[in-house]
Amino acid sequence: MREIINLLFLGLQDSAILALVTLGIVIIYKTSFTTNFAQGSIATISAYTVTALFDTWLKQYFAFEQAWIGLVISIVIGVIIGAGFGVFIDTMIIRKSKYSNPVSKQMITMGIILMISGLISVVFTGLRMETRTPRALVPWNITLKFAGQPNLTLSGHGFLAIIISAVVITTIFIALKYTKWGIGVRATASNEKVAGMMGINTKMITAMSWGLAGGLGALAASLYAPLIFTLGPDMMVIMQVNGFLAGVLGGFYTFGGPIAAALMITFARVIIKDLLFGVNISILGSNIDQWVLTFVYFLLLIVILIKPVGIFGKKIAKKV
Amino acid sequence: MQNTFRNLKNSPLFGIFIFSIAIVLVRLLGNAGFIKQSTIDFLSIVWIYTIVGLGYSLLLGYTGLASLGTASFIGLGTYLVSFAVASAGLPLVVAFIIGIAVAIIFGTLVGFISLRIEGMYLAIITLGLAEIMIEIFRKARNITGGDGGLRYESFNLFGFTEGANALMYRNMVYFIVVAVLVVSMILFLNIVNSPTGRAMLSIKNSTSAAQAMGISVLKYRLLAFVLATIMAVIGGMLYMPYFEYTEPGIFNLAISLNILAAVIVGGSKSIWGVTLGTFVIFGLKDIVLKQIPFFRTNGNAVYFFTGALVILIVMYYPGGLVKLFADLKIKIQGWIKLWKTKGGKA
Repeated sequence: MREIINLLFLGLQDSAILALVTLGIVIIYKTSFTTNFAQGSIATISAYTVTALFDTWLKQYFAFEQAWIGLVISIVIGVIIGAGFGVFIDTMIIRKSKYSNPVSKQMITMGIILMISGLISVVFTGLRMETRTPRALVPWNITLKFAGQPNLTLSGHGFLAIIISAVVITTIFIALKYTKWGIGVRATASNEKVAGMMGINTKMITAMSWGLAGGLGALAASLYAPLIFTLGPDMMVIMQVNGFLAGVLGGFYTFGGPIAAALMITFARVIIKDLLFGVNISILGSNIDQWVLTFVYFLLLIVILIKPVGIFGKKIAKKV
Repeated sequence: MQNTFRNLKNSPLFGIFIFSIAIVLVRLLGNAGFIKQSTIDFLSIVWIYTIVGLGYSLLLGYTGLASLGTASFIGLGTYLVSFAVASAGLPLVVAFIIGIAVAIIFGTLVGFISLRIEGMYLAIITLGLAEIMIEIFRKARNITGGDGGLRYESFNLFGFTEGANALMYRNMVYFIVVAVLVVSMILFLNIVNSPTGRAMLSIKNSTSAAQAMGISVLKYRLLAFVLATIMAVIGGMLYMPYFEYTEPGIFNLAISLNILAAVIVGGSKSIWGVTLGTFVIFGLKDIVLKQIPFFRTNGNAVYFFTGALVILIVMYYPGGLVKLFADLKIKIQGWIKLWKTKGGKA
């Protein structure tokens, strides 16, 4: 029982953040028909902003017990900034290149990665915040007692990350299903031109989707930085790669598929790692449980190669 | 005699010939003390990335496949050469042959993947592959030294070693890089101006149309990937004698993106475009911008401008910087013509 709860918690904690990133990628894919490689970069610069706001400015106004208020304020500002980045990129750059093909839009987002990494190094390098992640959010941990077994301590931050992410994702799914905006997104996703003819402001929908994706990324990065205890220009790369792979694995055709795939990837990693932990087999100098990520990626690639449209996707016939 | 010279001048190889003489001369000037040695040394790196960029240009510019796995193949090259020379004790030439063989295997593998997964997804999958390779570099500690990296300082280039004669060793590295660069450029020109190059271009423009014309997509995609991988691995194998150090963290997404940026910025379909682009992306920072105080403290700020340049060029000027020169030439010729006719009228 203890083991199961621990695994469930670790898996949920990581997949909560991965799901946020993946949802951002999928929403942009559905409305702009490109994969946003800059998702991780926007998230990273927002996490830097959150830390800078909290650490160098807001922290001093609150006592230690109330520090979380300051952190919440900075995260809200960070999410707004992330959303602003998203809207800016869409309205200023992606919209202007409407008639270029998806691959060149991808390249534009790769250019944005370079721009943001330059921006991060100029603005934030002087502040030296690499290890000062915003971790005062939940100073307490949750301890579960088991008869005859050592106590299990679950990090409060991870718990909060799961709850926030679940609430946010559920809200977005409900909004997609029942609100006018959601109908607009789904219509734009299925056919942008026809949606425009039906009186849907597709430009607005696309810009809002980019904003939402930027905000989701910012939230994900702000919650992720305290978990890995570092803040770096590359901190979101692995999450983003996982997010993309989840998107491909789940198929970009539905909103739910990639989220399910994100959960699957994370749980596969956590469970295999736990099963192999302590197994004394060394491959090329590293113990077998350190190779789990590589195994999981290999498995993913094989699944994607067998079913390129994703496990929840359907093949779309294309006119030549 | 004049005719022969004109024929020579019109040959595409003439430009490469002049270019190679120029870059060798720059080095010799550096040795003589006219130009700062450290500045010249950075040029080696620019030429190494140009070799990689040429391969990538075959992939992106001619076959239209956007791959993000380039950096991991450079990494593979560095580890291969270190392993072959340092651990197995093989001569450098044999190491290069092994490298090319391994590159062919890897390129074929990625090429087969590219047949299943197209367009936008390819960038994602190659990114995933790159992550796998970097994970392997990290975890295969017995061979790669793990995160701590791998240092090997006693490469023997035709009798010169860093320890015994550092200047000659550095020169040898430079000249070998230049030789490989020239060979790659000639190879690139030959491929591009042959039926192979035209087949690749047709695949880029429309896979279906190319297939309808009887062009085997399988064959040319595999070929493009194999060539690009070989060039990336060779780039890595040349990187190692220059830096004498490698670690998994170096060959991250940023390097892949920078190579992509270099190829796009310069112009993805010409050797001069790739050379120019690589110089702008990799050389400008350490050779030119270092003189400006702002960039001396904020070296990475240059990424901001290269990123902006990539976006602008993708959006408004797909031909790249090299097209700027061609366009300017046409414009100036037009002005001269205009000026002449106006002068005639007056």
